[in-house]
Amino acid sequence: MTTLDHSGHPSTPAHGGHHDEPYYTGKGGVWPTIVDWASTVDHKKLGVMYLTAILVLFFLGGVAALAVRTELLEPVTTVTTITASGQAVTRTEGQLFNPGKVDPVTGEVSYPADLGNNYYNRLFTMHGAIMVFMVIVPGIPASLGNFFLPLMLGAKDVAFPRLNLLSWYVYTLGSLFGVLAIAYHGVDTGWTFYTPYSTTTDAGHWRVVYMILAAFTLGFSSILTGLNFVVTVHKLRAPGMGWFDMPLFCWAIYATAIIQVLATPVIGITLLLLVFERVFRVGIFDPGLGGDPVLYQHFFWFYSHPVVYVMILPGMGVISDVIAVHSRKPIFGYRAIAFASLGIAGVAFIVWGHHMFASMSEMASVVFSALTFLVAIPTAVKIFNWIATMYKGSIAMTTPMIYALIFLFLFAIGGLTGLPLATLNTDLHLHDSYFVVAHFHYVMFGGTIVALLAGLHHWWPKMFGKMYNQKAANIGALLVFVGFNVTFFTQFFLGTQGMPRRYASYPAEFQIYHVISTYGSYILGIGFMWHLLVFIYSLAAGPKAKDNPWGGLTLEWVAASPPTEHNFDHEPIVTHGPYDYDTQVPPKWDPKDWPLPDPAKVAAAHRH
Amino acid sequence: MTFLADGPGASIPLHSWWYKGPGGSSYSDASDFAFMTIFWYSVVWFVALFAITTYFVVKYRRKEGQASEVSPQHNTKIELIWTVLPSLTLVVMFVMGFRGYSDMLVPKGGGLDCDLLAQKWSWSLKYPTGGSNTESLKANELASTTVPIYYFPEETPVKLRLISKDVMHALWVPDFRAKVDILPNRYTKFWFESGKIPAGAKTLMFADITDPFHFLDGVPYVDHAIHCAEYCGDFHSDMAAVIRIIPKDAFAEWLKKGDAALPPVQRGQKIWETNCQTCHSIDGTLRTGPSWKDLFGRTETMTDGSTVVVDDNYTRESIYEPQKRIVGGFGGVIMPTFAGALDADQINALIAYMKSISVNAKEEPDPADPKPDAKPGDKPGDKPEAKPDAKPEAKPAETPKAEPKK
Repeated sequence: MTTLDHSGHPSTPAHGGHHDEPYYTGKGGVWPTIVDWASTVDHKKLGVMYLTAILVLFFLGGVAALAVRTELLEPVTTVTTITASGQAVTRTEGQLFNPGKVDPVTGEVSYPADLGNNYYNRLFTMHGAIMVFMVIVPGIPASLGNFFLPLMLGAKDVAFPRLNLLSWYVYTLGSLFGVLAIAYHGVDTGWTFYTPYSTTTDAGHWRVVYMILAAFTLGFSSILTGLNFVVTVHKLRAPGMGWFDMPLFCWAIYATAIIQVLATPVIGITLLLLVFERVFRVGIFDPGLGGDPVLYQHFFWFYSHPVVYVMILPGMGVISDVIAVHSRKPIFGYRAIAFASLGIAGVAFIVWGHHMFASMSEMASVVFSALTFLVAIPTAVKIFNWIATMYKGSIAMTTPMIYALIFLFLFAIGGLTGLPLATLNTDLHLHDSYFVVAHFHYVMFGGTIVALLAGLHHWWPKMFGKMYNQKAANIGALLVFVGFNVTFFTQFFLGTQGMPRRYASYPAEFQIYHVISTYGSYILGIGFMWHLLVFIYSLAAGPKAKDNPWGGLTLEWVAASPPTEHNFDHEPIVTHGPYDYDTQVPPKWDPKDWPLPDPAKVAAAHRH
Repeated sequence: MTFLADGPGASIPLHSWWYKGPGGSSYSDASDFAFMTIFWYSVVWFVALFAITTYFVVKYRRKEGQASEVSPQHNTKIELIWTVLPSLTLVVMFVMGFRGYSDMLVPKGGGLDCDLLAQKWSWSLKYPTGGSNTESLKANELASTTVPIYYFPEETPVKLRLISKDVMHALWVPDFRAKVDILPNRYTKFWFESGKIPAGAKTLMFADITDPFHFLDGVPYVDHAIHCAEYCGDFHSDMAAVIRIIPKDAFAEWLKKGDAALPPVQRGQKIWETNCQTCHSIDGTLRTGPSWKDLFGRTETMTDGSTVVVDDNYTRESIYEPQKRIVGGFGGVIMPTFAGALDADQINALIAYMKSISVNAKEEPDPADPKPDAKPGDKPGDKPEAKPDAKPEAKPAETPKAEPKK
């Protein structure tokens, strides 16, 4: 019944030797193991290495976020008091971080507001740049994608394993550039590097160039990984796996990879032009040198809008798989979801202008507004199909399924709040306000990061061969869900009421919302630390995971938990679709424990 | 035409959760109407989707040993319905947004044409008469910086031509529900027509009986906050101003008097409040640039080691060509030029103000001056009108306050 048995071999032959050992087995001693990992071309090890790097950077970006939120607990005020000797003393209040400044004449240290504001600006830039370039863009494709794409396709590895290793080193190099920029006091450009601010700020320092080079280098990692995945999907599907037999996660990774290959070179060129302008004063974007700053925005968003879908599409893929497996139902509208992925990837390229309604020509704004509404359609179609999948299922409230439901909840809010941003007259109010901040956090965090958590909990037993405590993980999910909504739902109200984004200080009337939002972010931070502890405990003392704990039908569940170095003992042959729960007993399950519906009913239902 | 309180947008339930009150411009209610419509549309979708999801999760929860029920895996008719129907509602949304946008773009004829210049980190507005704003307001009880107040008449189209001196900025008036980016290399435009000042609005009351604008006492007004909405650096969040709507006749009289009616020191202080105070304190506090306390007339060492007396010409040069000679210790600071923003009269007023707050502003020639017979009066730009105010006064001149009283 399982996919493997068609070759006539037993599914887990006892070959003996290292072929049966988990992929991560050490090579005898610390140094040989380190060398083995550092030079590995195994997609699974690289997936784990990406995951580790991404989690470290996620921690850094998260600390910056909490610092930003803490700074916003109080508005910045300056209080002038008259001392007994009649001297006026001005004090800045409400700033947590202020490095201070020494008066060149008197040698006295003072703490003017601009220094604290400058610190704040560097913090939010650090948060944005790390989270976008180093965490969310590579997040799911590089970690889960690397680990599971070949497994789900029934392949031994990706198409170009050495290129894959190179991608990881390029990613690490890019991240090091970013950390270098932060070590040199950080940059205050915002992650968008809008000109002419980005080409004039911090004049005489290299740190802005470092940060731009970080984004530039990370782009190459993205392109190489994308290229690798496109070829892998085209060439390495197991025998019998047609395009429409692929798990939807693979479809999503495929659509993502296409965007990565097509859009990332544009940001590469744009960032290089930015460096030329900054270092060699070549006039491209700075009007002082004969350039045009809106041109930069066009270039930047021509990449950075499609990249939004690089961030979200893999998450959608994870959710498609998690919902099907944990509801034990064939995915409803498989082709609709697959084509919606490609549709989103296509529309992604023609909506960049909606970031510039306030600076573009009126005609362009109207056209981009109309095109932007198009994105809503495939997105809504996906949500409808996911919910329809649960109909008449056998739904288990496992941690991955809870995260999939959280995804639906948050992503629906993220999507619906996109509507007033696509509508022209309301956008001109909400543009660059906290409403936008809340909206994209619902999409980026509620979408991508929550999907990453869903996928991590879904595939954790497969990746490390250990189960985690589901009850403990569910508490983490609750903390993340509550913390996230408290943090960001309040920001919708801040936005409509007139709070602009990237403000170090604000009118006192907004303080109550900021306080609520900040406490929400603390709950969120605790939720993540909780999850980290649950995972560490699982690695240290978790019970051994079954090969197919959830009853998945896709090929990664055929492999052992954790998989051996070569994934499968024999090339698997695919004889059924990825979600044929009506007719298939999952691999590694005893048909006695897996009741199947009445074949007559199945035949009747499928006649439609 | 519809105006604020009587418009349909502000009367939709829960409007007060989202907005502080009805908008203040001719197009703001259309924006509120669109937003509130989309909000309720979203609520209906969201509640429907999660009612169904919750029902499924409960009804079809896993029972061990029991297979999931069989149901079709796809249904082209349903897919078509839930693709096409929402798309049609999106068309409605687009049209609503487009119509509101058209009203925001096309200004009505007549009214006032003004210029608004943005720079790090201040605004300067020029009225058609050439005057600028004359008052400023404390941003809040504790703030030491104040924000300029721009007077405008009610129910009159006001057209602003916007340009930036340096980086990108954006003009956002939340009460008007409108925003436009301000670019350094081309003009953008913004227009509004305020609604009628509601009955029971607050009235102006000038505390100082000698204030030249005392005639505005008792005039009703409505204030609307302005924020910069495009990130522009250290004081991005302090780049605020206030649009104050007053009755047409009061505005006409106010415009006639203009800021030129003020004595130079007071006028200079107004200019400092709107243009200079974010970087230059007047009490000795160190901000981005040197404090003006006792600065005028002092001998300063430049970044290149030379010494310069801060006199009329050095002041004028520093305003028009800030990067030419920089006081030591402020080498990395990029002050924008005010050429085009401040005219000769305004510079004179500023110099008068700087003299009024410096103990070093003496009438006799400075000992550091290499030409012993050169007199400050001989230098171009040193108008005699500045002299009476150039007394060595350490205390800043008391200024008229526009703090409204109920």
